Amino acid sequence: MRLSDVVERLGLEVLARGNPEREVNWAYTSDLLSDVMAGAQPGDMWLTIQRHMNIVAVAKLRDLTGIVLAKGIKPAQEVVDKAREEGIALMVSDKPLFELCGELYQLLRGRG
Amino acid sequence: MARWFKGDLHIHSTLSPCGSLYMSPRTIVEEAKRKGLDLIAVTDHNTCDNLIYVEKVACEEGITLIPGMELQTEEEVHLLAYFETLEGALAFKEEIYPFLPDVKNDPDYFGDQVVVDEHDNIVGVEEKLLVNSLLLSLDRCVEMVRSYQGVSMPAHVDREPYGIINQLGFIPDYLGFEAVEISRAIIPRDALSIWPELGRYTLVGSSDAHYPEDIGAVVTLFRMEEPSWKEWVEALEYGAEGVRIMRPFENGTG
Repeated sequence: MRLSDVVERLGLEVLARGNPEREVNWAYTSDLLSDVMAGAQPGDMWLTIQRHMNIVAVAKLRDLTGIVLAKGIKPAQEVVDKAREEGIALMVSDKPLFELCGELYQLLRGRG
Repeated sequence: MARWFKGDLHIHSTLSPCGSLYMSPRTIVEEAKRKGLDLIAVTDHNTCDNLIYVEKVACEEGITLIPGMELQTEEEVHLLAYFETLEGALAFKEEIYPFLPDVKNDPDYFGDQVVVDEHDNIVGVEEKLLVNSLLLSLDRCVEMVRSYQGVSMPAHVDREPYGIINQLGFIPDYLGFEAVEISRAIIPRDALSIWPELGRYTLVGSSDAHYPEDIGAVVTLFRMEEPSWKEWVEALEYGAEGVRIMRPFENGTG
């Protein structure tokens, strides 16, 4: 499923567009950046409540399709600017992480 | 003339719930003196009220105190913050206190959080749970410490719980740390082989003591004219020429 479709189906607010045409393969959830660096796969979407600046670098390093901040967590403007500059999609949702993960799981499994 | 002074700059007191009730200001200073330390820092979690009494005893015993505390940022990173004066540290504490979530400590589970004076009397109890994350980002904490002309240093960067590398993947360059602390579980050579990027920082080793016997379990030697704030900050800037981590059983005073 394309990133733009995921954004629409989950009702995400987009702060940085990234590549909307990119295919979201699967997803990864963690707030520990060392764990994301070790465990997320290229093409994964990343769901988290971690908003530190380093999330942009980690998403780029792991070639992720985008970052979704759950629970209404708002990143600092510098983080948004950095995501735009690096071409990393950055989205936010008011939903709790658990619900967001459940919805995305259904979508990617084709049962949305 | 400059010489090497021995310091242990990460010690917890009775005010840290995880710290032993034996860690009174007097016990800490006397133990530090017994271990031959010249300078110490007592760094409780997100607060520093015991420093008032630590400084009194340290002054009597001729040990230099660097006022400090160990902040826990919203990313669950432990950050050591050091200040030139006790007043500075106390003012900083007042500023961050409102950002500590209003969760009450359960002494049976977490341990007591008590202020103990220089005569080993309990003179205060902290009700809010101190081992909690401030509602402040790491970047904001670094900035705030700087605004008090303080020095901040990520704590035990090699450790998984609350270490900056584990929490944030890597140490952000732009925060401009002069020094980082490694825990007593690792020696500098091993830390540098696992994380070569640590080579750009001055490495400081401290005990993170929660019990009297752990004080000075690892010490850092600082090359200074005298054990003062100004000289200490300069030593950090000199890196390996001004700062050396030493295990007490090694003889590396040179």
